[in-house]
Amino acid sequence: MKTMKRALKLSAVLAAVLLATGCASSSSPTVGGGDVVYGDSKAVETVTNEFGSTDLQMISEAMARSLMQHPSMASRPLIVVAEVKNKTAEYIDTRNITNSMKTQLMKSGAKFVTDSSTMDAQVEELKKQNETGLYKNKAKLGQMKGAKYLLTGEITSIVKKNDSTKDVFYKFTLILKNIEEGVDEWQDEKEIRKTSKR
Amino acid sequence: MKKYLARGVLLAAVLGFSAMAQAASISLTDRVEQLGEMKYLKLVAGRTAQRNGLLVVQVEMKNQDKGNQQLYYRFRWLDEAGLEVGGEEAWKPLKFIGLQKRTIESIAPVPNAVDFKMEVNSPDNTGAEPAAK
Repeated sequence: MKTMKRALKLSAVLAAVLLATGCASSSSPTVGGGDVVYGDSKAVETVTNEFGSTDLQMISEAMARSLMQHPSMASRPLIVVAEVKNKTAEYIDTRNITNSMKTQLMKSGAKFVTDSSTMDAQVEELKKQNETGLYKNKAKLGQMKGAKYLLTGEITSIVKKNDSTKDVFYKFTLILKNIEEGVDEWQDEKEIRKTSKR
Repeated sequence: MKKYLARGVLLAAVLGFSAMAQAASISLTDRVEQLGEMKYLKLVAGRTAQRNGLLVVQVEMKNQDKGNQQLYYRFRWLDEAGLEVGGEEAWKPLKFIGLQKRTIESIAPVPNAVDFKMEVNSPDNTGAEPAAK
């Protein structure tokens, strides 16, 4: 009986120590003080009404899916991405928008040729393979494919404010141009309104 | 001239009918997941069709409140095996003014998507899962 009581006392003390230190329940595979938290990268971001992650995600998704519905995309033609002009007063990385759109379009089966952002690196590699005499297998010159369509556009904004409210209206326009014929085959817009109290 | 016009009208009617016939009404009960039963935003109807080999979905919703209501939504796309395809979508905000009915349209990001799930959240919700119907 004495041994039983002692064992119970010992268990109670051990439980109290464990509770105090919290060693079992607070275990998680993290490093650091806990002031930094990882959030949902797909959540609706409403920190300020400047251009944000939700705007980028909504624009790229809406534009890519609208374009894929157009009949000119049925045969999965080759496309080249050109510059999207930023006509807002804010700094917006438009390459980030076109990259997201391109990712979505490629998932849908669209095909892209090298655009100006990576052309130099590709041509340099092509020249290196053909001119240095170092390679057994060489990428042939004169085999690059030309795009049928060019994807371009612009983003604009209208900002209005009074004593109590700030209203920002973004309009993103995307255009698909037939390079040979000089015809705009498709165009669509995504509009976003963000209003905040001042 | 009249003959060509009549043929044109007939062709347009046939094409119009076939485009409508492609859109099929669907049940939203199993497809829409309410993260807390919405108090005022109600599902009205759902339709699907195929465009350029991609699944197109339209979901109609109505605000039964006289005041404005906020909705957050996103789609998840499923292939024939029921596996999620196309990656995770971003949540999208949509505002309903009092008593407004709106149609949400989305297109599958990948050609192998044959079905969908829609996640919806309205800040005005009961905090409980919707009752099974």
